[in-house]
Amino acid sequence: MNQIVRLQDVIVRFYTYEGIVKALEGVNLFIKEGETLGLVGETGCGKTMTGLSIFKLIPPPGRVESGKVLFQTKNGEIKNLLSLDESELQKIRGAEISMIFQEPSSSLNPVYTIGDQISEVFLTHRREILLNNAIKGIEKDLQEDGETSLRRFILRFEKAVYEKMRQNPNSLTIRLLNRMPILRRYKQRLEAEAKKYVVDLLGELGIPDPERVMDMYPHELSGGMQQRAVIAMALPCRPILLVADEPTTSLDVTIQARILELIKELKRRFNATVLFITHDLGVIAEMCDRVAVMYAGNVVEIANVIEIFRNPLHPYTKGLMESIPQPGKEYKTIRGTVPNLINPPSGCRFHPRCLHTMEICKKTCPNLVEIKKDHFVACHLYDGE
Amino acid sequence: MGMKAYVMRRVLLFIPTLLGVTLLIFAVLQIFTPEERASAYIMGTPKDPSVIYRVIEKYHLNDPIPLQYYYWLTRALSGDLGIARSAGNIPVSVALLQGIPATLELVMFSIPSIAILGIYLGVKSAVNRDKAPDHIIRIFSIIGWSLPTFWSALILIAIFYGGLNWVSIGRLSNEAYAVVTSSNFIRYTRMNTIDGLLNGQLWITIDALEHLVLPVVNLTIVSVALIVRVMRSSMLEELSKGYVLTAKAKGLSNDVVINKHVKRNALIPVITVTGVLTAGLLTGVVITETVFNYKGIGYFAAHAALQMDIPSVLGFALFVGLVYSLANLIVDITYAYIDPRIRLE
Amino acid sequence: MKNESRWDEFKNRMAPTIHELKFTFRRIKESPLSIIGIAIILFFAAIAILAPTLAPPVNKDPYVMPHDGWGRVPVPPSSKHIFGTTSGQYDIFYGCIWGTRTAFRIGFQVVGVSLLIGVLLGSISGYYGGIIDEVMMRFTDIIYAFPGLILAMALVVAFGRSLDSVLLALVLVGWPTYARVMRGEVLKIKQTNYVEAAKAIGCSDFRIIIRHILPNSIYPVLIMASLDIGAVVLTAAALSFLGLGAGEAFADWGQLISNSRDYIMGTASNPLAYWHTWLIPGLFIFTFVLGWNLLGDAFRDILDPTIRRR
Repeated sequence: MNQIVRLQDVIVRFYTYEGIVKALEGVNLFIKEGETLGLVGETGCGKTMTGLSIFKLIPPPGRVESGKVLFQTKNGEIKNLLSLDESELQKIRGAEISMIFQEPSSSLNPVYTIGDQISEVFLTHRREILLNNAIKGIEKDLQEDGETSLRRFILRFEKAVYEKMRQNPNSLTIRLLNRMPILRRYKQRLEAEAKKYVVDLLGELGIPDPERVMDMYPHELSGGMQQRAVIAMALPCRPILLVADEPTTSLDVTIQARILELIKELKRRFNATVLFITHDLGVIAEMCDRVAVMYAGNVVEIANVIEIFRNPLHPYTKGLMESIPQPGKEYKTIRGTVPNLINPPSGCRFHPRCLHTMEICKKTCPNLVEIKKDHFVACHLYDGE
Repeated sequence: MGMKAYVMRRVLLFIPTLLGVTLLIFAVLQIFTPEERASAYIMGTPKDPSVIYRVIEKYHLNDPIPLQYYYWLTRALSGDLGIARSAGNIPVSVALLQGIPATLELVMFSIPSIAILGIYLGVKSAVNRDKAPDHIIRIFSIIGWSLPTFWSALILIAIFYGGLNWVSIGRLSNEAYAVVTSSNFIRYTRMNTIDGLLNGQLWITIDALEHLVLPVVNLTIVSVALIVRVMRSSMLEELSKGYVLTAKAKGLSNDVVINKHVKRNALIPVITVTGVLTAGLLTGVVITETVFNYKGIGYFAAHAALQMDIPSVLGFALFVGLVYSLANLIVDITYAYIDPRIRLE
Repeated sequence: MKNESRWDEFKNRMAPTIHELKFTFRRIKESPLSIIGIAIILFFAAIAILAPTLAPPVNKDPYVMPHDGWGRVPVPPSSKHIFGTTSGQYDIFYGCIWGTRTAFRIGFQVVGVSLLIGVLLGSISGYYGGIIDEVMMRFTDIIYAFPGLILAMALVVAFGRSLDSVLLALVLVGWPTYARVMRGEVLKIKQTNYVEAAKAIGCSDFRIIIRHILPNSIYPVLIMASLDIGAVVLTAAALSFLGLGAGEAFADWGQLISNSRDYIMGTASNPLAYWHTWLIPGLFIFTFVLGWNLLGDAFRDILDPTIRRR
């Protein structure tokens, strides 16, 4: 199985008044085709930033300082996403990689209908197909008798416009037409074609009565429906990689279960590769094939899900597993608090809280090393193995 | 709730507001004695003191307050607001009606100019936050906001009329005025730009436009800052919202994100401010028309104030209050049309 | 030992406040606009304080301008009258200097009183709600139904022309804005958890208002006040320009221009003939208002917690 995406030594920093926040200090990860990789860690450890760095959408005052994000596109090329310029990235975002976010109500634009927002993805990335469909539709209409000559004239005009768009989407004529309010109507057929796909997609996602839902505004839908709409926005172009950033955290438990089922179903049907970001170990256990544990901007352990739960190697991971509350067991926590990332601890960032700190831990930050097959740990305890 | 129910509810709320406006003007009127109020309805100075007492009787100016209000209100609604001494002893309502087309014309050209310029500069300012365009735009709008309306008007006149002689003062040049008041010219709307077109005399329209340029520029300079400021802060607020990241993650270009997604949301608070903008325009019109010798209702009001012509000033205030409340009603309804979330309340 | 720990405790408690204050000052220093605004205001303050030296009063009431003769035609600047005279031969230089004091007085008095009334009525209305709130809202609605200058015109015409009429009219027109904003802030804070907690442990209403509500709601009101001073001075100048001001001899910038009303458009052949009658006093008005607007605008960016930091 090949690797779909690989992060190499990604460093992200935020330049604030209070100082430079070293959010990601050399993150190393890879995700294999068809698997679900869970990215787990406490709030503030950098999980979301890792997800955003794949898209190169780190918000200011943050910046990607260095590192590579190697991604295998649909044509099989391997590109470093961090080195591409905006226009190339825009072709990949939404088409080959998509993201779903934590709060569906703020991820959706309140003044546009669900249908508009989903069809937007089609219209941006699947123009060709839509144009072809539109032209075929016009030709069919033209062949029917009983159309007035005015109507025929309009239809031929539309067809000419669409053909021009197919040839050269950025031509001056098209741009001029876009500015004139009345003539913008020609777009309606294109949008109608896109909407057909949207209806199909909503149906596949198990949303009842898709035609009605499409014309609704985000605030008219429940949280679960909104999240399904957000998922629908991520899927139209069958992306290779889906990044899910805490998609169920803000939903109630019953809805949570249904959304997780939905994501599993998508995985089954389309063999989707998913990066599942969460702080909930229970969700990790249910959804993921492999797990990467992050702490304070570093990936400290990566292993297959069963291995991580049964045999955690890094002291932090061990602490996490032991702190899962269980009836009959004494309640345990990891002593200390999450470090300030403006002045992080030297060497290994976990050393102030670790029970097995050694001298070397305070000086150098350990690298991720493959200790057992497919089990990586970044800890000096395992140096020399 | 749906648009229809919202509109109906809002219109129903409008009626007490109108009553409130009339009440306030009525309250201000009560500062004057019945005799003083009576003289508002009399043309010239009465030689016979009993005339005053007859007017007091007829207009119920000495009755208990609620009754007074009732009679005053019915009179006002039927068009009797007293005599405008400063406007040649014509009724106040007639003076107002005479001035409305001119002011309407002025406002008609000013509002789009302020809105388009304000929105464009506000977006540019927000998108380039803290960089050169932002600073320049903000400085110019603060300067515009700090200018006394009459001062900027005088400066414009000094430069463009006194210095360069590109434009002239007033509504029309003498030649155009002669044509417009002649019998072959039909004044459909009494707005010279439109009438010129309707009568097939394009040069009249151009003449009127030439006279409108400076007053419109003056009103724009003073009011645009408000729109720029609100648009800018609204854009900045929207830019930090979740759906912007979603849009970018969908692969939309920056242009599309800003102009399609953010702008539509950012315009919403701007609509609310249009109400305040109208207030600013109504105020600006009083001074601008005076300085530019542009005979609309603002000019009328300013001259009335200068001569302490009480019925005129109060009549004008009443009219403006009603118009402004109507403008606010329209703004509220437009707001509900644009923001689907409001209709739920 | 005890004193030491109390001082440390105080320092610790105040540390976040001090940190924020330092940040505020740094933002002020970094913002050239606010520095220019402060400089302008200090400049005018200096003029106001030094008024008796710069333009020694001639009459018992220093605000009554000296007039050199009775001629209607304004005289351009000369060595005798540095800024020239208005119609009626009032010295423009004198008027501008003492007009600075008038401007400060108008700004501070009107805004100060409006703020006090508004904050008081607004917090009561917002906090207690119910019928008090309804009545106050209707009241402010009615005043809001009029543009400020126009309602002020009506009021001054009714009260009679004088400086006090202008001040009173501007206060009556201005307080609703402060009341509304204060009420809005109080409503927001009232619903927060910490106010409910304070109530639950039995804090008196008064204590809640003073300790919890006021400190949090006061910022927007203060920002508004600094922006309002400029607007008030502009409106007062407009009223003077319309002849509704303090009177021909009163040292006020708007009044100076109003005096020369028949001459500001110059003559038929030379519109700029009497430029000094309007350009100079107008420049004073503009710069004064600009200073306050720069300050208020910069304050809004600096103090508003949602846009303070990026």
